Amino acid sequence: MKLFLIKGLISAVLLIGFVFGYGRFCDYFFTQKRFLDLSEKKQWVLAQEGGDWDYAILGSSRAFGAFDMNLLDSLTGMKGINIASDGSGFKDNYLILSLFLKSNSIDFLVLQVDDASLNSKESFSNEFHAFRFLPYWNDSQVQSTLKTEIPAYNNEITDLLPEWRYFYFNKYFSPKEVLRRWNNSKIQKDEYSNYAGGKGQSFQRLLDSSADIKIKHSIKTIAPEDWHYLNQLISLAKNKDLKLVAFVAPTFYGDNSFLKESLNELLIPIYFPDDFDDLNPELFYDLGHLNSKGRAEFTPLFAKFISSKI
Amino acid sequence: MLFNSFEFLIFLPLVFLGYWFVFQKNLKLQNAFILLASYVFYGWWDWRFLGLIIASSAVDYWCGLRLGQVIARRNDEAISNGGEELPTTHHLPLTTYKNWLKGPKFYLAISLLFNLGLLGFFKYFNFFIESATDFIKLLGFQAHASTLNLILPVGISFYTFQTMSYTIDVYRGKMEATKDPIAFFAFVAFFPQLVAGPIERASNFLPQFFKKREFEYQQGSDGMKLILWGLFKKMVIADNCALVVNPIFENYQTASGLELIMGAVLFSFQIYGDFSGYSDIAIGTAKLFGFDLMTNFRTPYFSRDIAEFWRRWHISLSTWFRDYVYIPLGGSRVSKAKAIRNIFIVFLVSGFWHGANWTFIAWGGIHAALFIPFFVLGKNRAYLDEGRHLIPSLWEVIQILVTFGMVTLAWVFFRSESMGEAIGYFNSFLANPLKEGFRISLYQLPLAAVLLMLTLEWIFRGKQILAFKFPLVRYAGYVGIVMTILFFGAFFNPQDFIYFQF
Repeated sequence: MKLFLIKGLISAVLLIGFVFGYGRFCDYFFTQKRFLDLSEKKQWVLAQEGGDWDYAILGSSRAFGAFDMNLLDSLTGMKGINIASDGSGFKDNYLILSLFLKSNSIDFLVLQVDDASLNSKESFSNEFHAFRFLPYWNDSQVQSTLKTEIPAYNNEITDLLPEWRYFYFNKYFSPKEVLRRWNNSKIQKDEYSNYAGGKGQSFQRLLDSSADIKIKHSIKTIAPEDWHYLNQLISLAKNKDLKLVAFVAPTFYGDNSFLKESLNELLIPIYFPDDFDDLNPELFYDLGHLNSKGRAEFTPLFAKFISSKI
Repeated sequence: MLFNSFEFLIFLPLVFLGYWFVFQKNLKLQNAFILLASYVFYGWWDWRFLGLIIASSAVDYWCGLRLGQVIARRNDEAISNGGEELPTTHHLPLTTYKNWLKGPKFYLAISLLFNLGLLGFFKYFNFFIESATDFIKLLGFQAHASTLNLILPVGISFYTFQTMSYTIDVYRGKMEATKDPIAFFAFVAFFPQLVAGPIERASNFLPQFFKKREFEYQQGSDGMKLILWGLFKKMVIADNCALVVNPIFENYQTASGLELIMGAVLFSFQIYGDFSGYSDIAIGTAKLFGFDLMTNFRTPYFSRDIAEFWRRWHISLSTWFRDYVYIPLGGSRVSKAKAIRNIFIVFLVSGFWHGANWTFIAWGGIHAALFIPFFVLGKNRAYLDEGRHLIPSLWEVIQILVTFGMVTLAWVFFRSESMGEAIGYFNSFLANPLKEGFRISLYQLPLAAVLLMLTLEWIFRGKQILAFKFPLVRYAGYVGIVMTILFFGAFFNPQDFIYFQF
């Protein structure tokens, strides 16, 4: 029994030591700018430091691909940054903005709101990219959000050994990923600083998927937790004294009546793309996203709105 | 409480220390402690259903006592009448109803009715109501079904079978009735195997509660190896396979042929990793407390024919049905036609045991249909050895692959929610055999993990898993498995053990 207990104890100590050591290594490695994967938009945003912009655009892929930023800057006479990213709901965006504002400054925030991000569970294959924020655990907003959203983090094991959290999302923090980031660090390219918009001209995808129009536009409910994080975002912007406007990005056959009703109580200026030709398939990449032609049409319309709100 | 949960990580060492350091000197106290720990383990899931285990244990304890008394009295009467001691299964003729009420069959019937009644109510009530309604509608009559919103108590199929084995064995005179209620209740509720087996036989397991238990290093070490291996099979194999398999079965209509094949193959490994992983952890945990549970799986996917598969898959259930259903029906010592009927019954009942769904019955029926040709040709006991060669012959490889293929086809029924879905799965494959949409990158992790598992199981088949000869290799093996679990275990998407639902 004595030998069994000694061996068991040594094994447990070694295991805890390994988890602790590897976790501490991840804390360091995955927050280093040179090891962030700048080809991934969220990480590119998290890598920004010391920036000073007039405005930032925050939202999901619809906001990410809705603007030609150079054109918008020239039309408004301001310098902006697009920090929207694919698949981001309000939970993601709340943490992205919170971390972004820790080392950057902006004057006002342009927030994209739509039916998808108001019901992220129904709309996104991954409603919350919690793993992206694990290395920023020491940030109180990150920690409290992760503990609220990921039940497994709200227990004693994470309190006693927070380094354990990396193994919960081991796919993203494996030695293989460390090696990949290490190799990438030598050939990193900044793909988004002069980003003109992602989706190309093709609207073939739209034609292919037009049968799904009813399904895509059927989400007419607001998830309370998404509403909560939208309000958190607004509070965060107000606490940082940011001016705030919101907008709804154009979607093919977009019906915004539900959003117009629902968003009234937010008491912030909101732009609805009523003057945009959302029946013209040539302006869309797919049902929910503009293509470059659509972007070129939409950017001036939005510039007019935003200029009137400054 | 799940074996792969934080709660169990705290629970197990506490119970281990209490068991060996606080209560070791008194066997009765040790058994009481195990019983208490088992009820805490079970109650953690839902304490309300503790009443069912206690009731089942109490009824069978009482039936066992009464059976013991009746059998002993009849033997005494036979001896005092100058005759020899009667075999316990030989009873006085049932001339009157009163006589029957005093006889052992009465107490056996109470035990069986109570346990099968529990099982029938919680597991099969809705199925029978719905099936009857469907049948009435099929005849052209109006029918409205009123089903109940019942929660299936975890482990009910396992502990009711285990406790029934006790009364049947006492009835058959294979063992004496116990007069120690604590030991008996602990035998029924023993936490390592309470919710998903192995389904222990009373004659093997109950006597272990009466023996003084000493901690043996080797037994404890073997237990830890099994727990580690079980966690690997559950968290790396089963849970990673589930991440790929679930979307394929949910969207089989649009999946490509290759995806459907991959879905079926990986489900075979998912259910094996899940269930045998649970059994390994259960057997390993029991060893930590000085108990030996029966082997439940012996590398079933290395079987060379379907008969060998059934000697290696879920052994505790298949031998239960053999001993308590197949043999009482006459087994193979009857005419060929009756023996075939018996085989069919056992496989169908075995399928039905898994759940109230026609898919399970179809699964049992397919296995019966695959097994019977071997039985008819007298080839059902062709492979009783483990296979001795490190490198299998080409013929063996072909046999193993063909057997695995047949088992995998049957698993499609087992995994499907309905017969329509199972048939749709095959139809979809025939309609889209070469449809595009297959991305090998999705399958790399589960396939690599399966390959690692099969390699190690092949090397250690018939032996203690991970028992490397050289210490350095052995420790490297342990570290390797732990690292594989840490870096490839599906911690974020843990799946419930599949057999909990049965």
